[in-house]
Amino acid sequence: MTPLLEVRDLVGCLEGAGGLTRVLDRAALSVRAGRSFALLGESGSGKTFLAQACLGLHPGRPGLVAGSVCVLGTDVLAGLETLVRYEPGPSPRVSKDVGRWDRAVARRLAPVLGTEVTVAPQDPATALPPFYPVARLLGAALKARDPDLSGAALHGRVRAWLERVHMYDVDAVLRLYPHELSGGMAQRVALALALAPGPRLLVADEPTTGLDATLRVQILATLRGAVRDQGLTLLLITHDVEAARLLAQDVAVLCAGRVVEEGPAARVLDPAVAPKHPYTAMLLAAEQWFRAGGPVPALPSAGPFGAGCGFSARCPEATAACIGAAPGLAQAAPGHRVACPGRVR
Amino acid sequence: MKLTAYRHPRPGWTRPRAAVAVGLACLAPAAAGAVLAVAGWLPDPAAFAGPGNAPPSPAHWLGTDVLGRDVASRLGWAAARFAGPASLAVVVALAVGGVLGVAEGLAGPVGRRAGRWTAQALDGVPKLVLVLLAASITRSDLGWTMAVVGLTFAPQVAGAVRASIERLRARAFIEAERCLGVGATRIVLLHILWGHSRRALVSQVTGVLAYAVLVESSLSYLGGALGVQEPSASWGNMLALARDGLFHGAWLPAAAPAAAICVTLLGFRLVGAGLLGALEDRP
Amino acid sequence: MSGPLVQVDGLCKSFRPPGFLAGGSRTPALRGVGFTLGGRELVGLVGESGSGKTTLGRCLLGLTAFDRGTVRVAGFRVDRLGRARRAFAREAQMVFQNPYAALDPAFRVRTILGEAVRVHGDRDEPTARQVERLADLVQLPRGRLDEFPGRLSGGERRRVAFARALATRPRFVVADEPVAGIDPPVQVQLLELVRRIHAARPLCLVLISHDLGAVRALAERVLVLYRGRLVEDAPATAFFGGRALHPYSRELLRSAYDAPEILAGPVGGVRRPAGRDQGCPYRHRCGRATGSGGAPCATIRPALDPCGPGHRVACHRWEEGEQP
Repeated sequence: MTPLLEVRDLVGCLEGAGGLTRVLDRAALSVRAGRSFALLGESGSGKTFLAQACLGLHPGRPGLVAGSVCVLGTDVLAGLETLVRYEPGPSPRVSKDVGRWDRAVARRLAPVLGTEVTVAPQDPATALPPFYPVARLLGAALKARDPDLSGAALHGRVRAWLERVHMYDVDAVLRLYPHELSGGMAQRVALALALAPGPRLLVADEPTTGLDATLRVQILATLRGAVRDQGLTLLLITHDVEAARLLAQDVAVLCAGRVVEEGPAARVLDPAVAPKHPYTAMLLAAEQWFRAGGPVPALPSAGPFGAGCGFSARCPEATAACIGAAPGLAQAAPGHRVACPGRVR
Repeated sequence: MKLTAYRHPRPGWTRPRAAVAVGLACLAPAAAGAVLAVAGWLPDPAAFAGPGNAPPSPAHWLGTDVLGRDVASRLGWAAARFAGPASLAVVVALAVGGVLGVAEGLAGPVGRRAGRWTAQALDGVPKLVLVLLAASITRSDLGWTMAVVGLTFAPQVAGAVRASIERLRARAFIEAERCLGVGATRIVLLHILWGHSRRALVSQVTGVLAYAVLVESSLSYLGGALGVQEPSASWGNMLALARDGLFHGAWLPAAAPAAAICVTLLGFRLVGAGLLGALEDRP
Repeated sequence: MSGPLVQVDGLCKSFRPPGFLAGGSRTPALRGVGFTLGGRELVGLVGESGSGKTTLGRCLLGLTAFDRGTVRVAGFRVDRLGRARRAFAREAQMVFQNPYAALDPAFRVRTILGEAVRVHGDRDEPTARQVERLADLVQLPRGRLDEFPGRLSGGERRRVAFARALATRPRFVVADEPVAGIDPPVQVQLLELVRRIHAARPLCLVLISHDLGAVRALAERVLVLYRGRLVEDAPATAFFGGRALHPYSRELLRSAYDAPEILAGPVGGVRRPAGRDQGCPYRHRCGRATGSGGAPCATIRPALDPCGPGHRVACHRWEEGEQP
């Protein structure tokens, strides 16, 4: 069976104030139908960039420069190699025809984006279109899948969706414009918008960040219910280890644009399972400390990503080899691969 | 197919910076002339040094005017003489505009209204009429005329000051400074005006200077009781004197002050526009 | 000085809703909040978003004018500061919610901290050295002092914000969501830093957070705010040790620590909040109130009454929370 989303050797660059940085470095992952996938990493690890770039959502310039992306069997980047020239190296050089590239990607994704594949944005308060009330936004999302819906039937479906995302006062909410929604309400409306077309793949970008505990649980419950009832598969982009553990079957840990560990969530996110990449171990230790308290774990101080392995500048076990070249993924157990030669040979 | 290069690091030569650089280059000749004149490296501007309308020579780089005076020296001396009054215009515009703008942006309801009305009343009088009035009352004293030029620009400066105060006063970092106990004067002067509005204010200053050059040249060109009086040099009265020679083949004595006026005005405009553009460039 | 460091009585604050057609109905954010804080307490202020946490924090420092009630901090009436603002700034400081907005992007970190030192610092010591000592205090590498805030990471910005608040050597600091929006490993380091600073200085610290993990890690006392009312005031050991007595506190704790169990069962939505009546504001979400047929929860608003050593709760049926 073809995966819903397959990414191979993806390289992406962003132009910033300090120059060109490589945000993704030969990242690879594969999301299979029925196995929700969590992409775990700190801010700056490239996880949001990866999701946006795969779906042609303009993460910045120049964007993707090499690799392949297959969304629902469509090879999105096929034949676009002529639009980009990429010279790898410590300071990469990129030339790219961004306009044509983006148009080609948008054309290929147009049949599935918004219907088969939807996105719940990171910051719904600003990402929702501001000109229409909630009723009209949701109605449009429903019509994307079922153009014949109208009148009372459409209205009923809209109301039903708002109730499914645990919204009270549905009648009042329908008339509100996005800027009038509170943060939690906007999050729920954005989720309803992403779920309403009945997608096969839902990309949820940091759905629980910045929410208070009660709201976070409700959002998690809604996502879990959608996976169970609608048969959709979730690509969860998060730094919330517990959310990943609750919602995903497969996990990839991203550090400095590279996948440093991947495998089934039950293994990767279980602190007791070894071997483990030191970066994953650090994320899990922080999460454990927040839940249980106790002595402060010795966490490598946060800092810039190092050369070679992205974690080398912070890793207590880093050797000269780690700084020299990025280690590749090696099998630790069936289906579980770790990119750390110190832990897995 | 057009591939855009994304280099590392990012090129620093942006369009606003280029505008500022070209503008400064345009201002350089006038500044250099003034410096040379004050340093005494140019011949006496009032001396009748040779035949009239002489072509350029090693002794007279830009030739002589119809009365036989050195054109280059007169250009330089005109710039040097004008520097002081022009600075006065800038000081008046910044002082009056700053006070009005801070009053509009910060004071209580009464002060705010007073500031706004004063600015609007000043803005309502046509600029040139006011300047001509001042010139005739003060018998063309250049200092007074330029002070009035500054005054006519005060509402514009006040608008810029008020806009930046209103834009920034609700921002969290200003509130943080207030919470720290930093005084209101220091917040306005250092954090708002210097920290975030200095480019906008410098571009206002270039506007004042350009207008001052234009006003001084126009008045001196018109002559009579207005403007700088002979034998003192001014780009305007040099142009007026050379006007007739233009039709008898002696074009350089007219072209030199005309070019000086045009290039200097262009320079001020480019610097101002470049600074504002750089402002928009910032995230 | 006699009396508590911070004394709040009957604090009320309401906002006019945005939009010019919204008319006169004001949305209450705080409704009669009262508590006192002593000299070196480390207090966590928790509640869901919209409960009034940030508003309360800002009222404590006189940054937001309030409608009714009194707030006294270190002997100052914060609603009548006027010219005493600078003297007050020596006593009380705020670490602002969003360090991306609260640090002036036009100045280097050294200048930002120098500004605080200039107002309040030691006149005899060079400003540069005081700034460097502040950087050491919050473990910010000295090399980062010459950067603009835009080039600092989230964690570094929080450190700068803390350093600026501590520059005046205040006795009272309100930290508004000091670790929100940064990565958990960095949060752990920052919280540990805050704990160490609090241990080393005579400081009363109020930590506003929607994240119970951060409060649990630091606080000695927990204040729970629900829709503008204080519903529980408990020692942290009791609150996190199974003796949280208000049903809302329990809901918060359950959401934070038992997410897997909640997800395993059916999840109800947030029910419509109570209107403006005399009953308990929480009764519409409360299992205890609906289980008892309504009285007295529907008719009498519970007061914040003592229920244990250093422990107060606003619930008629708090004894039911005592049962295991």
